[in-house]
Amino acid sequence: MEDEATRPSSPPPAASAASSVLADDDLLREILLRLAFPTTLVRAALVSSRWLCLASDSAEFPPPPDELRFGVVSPLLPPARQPPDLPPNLHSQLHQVPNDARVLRPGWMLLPEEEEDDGGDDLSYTLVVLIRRGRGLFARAVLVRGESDDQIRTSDSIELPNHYWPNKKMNRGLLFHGSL
Amino acid sequence: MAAAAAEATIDGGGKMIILISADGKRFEVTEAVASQSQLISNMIEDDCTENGVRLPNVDGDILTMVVDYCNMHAGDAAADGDTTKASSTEELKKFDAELVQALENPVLFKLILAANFLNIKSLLDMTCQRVADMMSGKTPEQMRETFSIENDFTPEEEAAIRQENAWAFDD
Repeated sequence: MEDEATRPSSPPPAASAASSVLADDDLLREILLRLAFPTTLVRAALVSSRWLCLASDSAEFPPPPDELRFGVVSPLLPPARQPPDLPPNLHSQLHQVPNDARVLRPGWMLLPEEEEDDGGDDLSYTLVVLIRRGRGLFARAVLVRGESDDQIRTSDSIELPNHYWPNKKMNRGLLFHGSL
Repeated sequence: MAAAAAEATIDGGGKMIILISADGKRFEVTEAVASQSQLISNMIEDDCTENGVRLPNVDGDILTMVVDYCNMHAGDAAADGDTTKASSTEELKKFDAELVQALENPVLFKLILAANFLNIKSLLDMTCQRVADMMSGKTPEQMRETFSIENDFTPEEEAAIRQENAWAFDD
């Protein structure tokens, strides 16, 4: 093949390059990671269930606007930062669930809320707890503002729709309304 | 362009390597240019580039773009040695911006596949970023349409996610 022009290339149909890229989990994740706005990411999550998984599956998932108190939680991946040592009273609150229920995960830091952090106090964050009870999956948000009981507020458990039930590998994404 | 690359041997680019596209086009590049591809860099280390490197899933047209890109960016890696040859940062930025702006589906996606296969991280970053930029401002429906993706949510599931994330859907 010395002559460059002799054999015309036969490019695959136009759609196939795009679908090969988007069918590849790693490449789709690379793209979703680069979305500039949380809005676009949430919209992308609604494209299909696979996009929802990958969008939620990402450790880099950008926090949504703080004032709206919406959170997107990835139950599988560790949080970007571990919360500081949990005060013991918080620990007991986290596990305060009915006897027939169990806490699936002790908690994730959802949003470090540094704006409110005037006094240099590190204890200001929101945790999300997943709770399994019978066949139901519940989530509850815990807003931590300090170590004492009145600075810790826990939301009611919110039952999650069945399709959020984590699959075997617990990598199912979860869109969670964390209003307190 | 293969001729232009061949001249590079003179200023110490090292051995030349021949890349052969799926449709048989041949590109002669320096090791420094080719080894921006992690795949080829590994092949160079393993000494298996003697008879040319066949790239059965990269078209000539796409490989032309990849080789252009690598030629431009070879300066990055070898900057300390040869400052006259290395493209200036501004030139590079301009080149990248023009390249990526001109990219449309399906060439853009073919280039992503090539960058992924050849493992050229900076090119993969740039092309994936371009797709991400194309998505901004689009609704889920428009994204599905643009990328030919089937919606597999039930209407109830879709409504639930929309409701929980209503802030993302106010226009």
